[in-house]
Amino acid sequence: MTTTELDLPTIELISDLPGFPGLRKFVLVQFDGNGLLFDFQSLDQADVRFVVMPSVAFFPDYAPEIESDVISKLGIRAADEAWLLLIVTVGVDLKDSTVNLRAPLIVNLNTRAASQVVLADDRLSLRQPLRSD
Amino acid sequence: MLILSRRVGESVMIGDDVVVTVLDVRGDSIRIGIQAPKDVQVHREEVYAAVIAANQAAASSSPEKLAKLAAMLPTTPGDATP
Repeated sequence: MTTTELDLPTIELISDLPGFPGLRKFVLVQFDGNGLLFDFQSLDQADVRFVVMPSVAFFPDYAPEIESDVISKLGIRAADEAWLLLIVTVGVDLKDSTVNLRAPLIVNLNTRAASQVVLADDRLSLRQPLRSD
Repeated sequence: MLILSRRVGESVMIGDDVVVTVLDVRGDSIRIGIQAPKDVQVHREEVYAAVIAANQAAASSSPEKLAKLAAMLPTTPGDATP
């Protein structure tokens, strides 16, 4: 473990993020005090950074069906071992900010192995506003 | 582009560890099965392109906007972290 990774939860992707080939190591840093927003920052390329949020905060009913293949590749054996994070595109307000429900990040909380999975359900939006009213 | 003819049940190998098998053909629709190692993701092309576009848009979120968004979020999220 290098100094930069010390004490930071390092997430290791088991497959590339679409559009960002070769970047597999990320750190997850809580951005706000409530655990609603996290910085998901590449350790391989410092200028690559995403904002992610746990799905439960804004989408408590979000429980997508995930292929067993992905689950086994991540070594997830129980539901409470998996953590679903939604990638946020930050806009000027909540209506303008969107999350990608179609392709969430799934993290194995024990091993910190993760993958962005593209779900089969095409009703799930890639750009779901945080607030639609 | 390499073009091969295959019958139902036959496969093609891509590299050493990707196997694509034709499972079923009905009219202009073909079902294929793909076996690939765990670091190779398999996607429908149009969906993959859409996810790339969404990821690229997400990665360009500015720190200023992020700070504003954080300020707009509710302060009692409940059990948001594991």
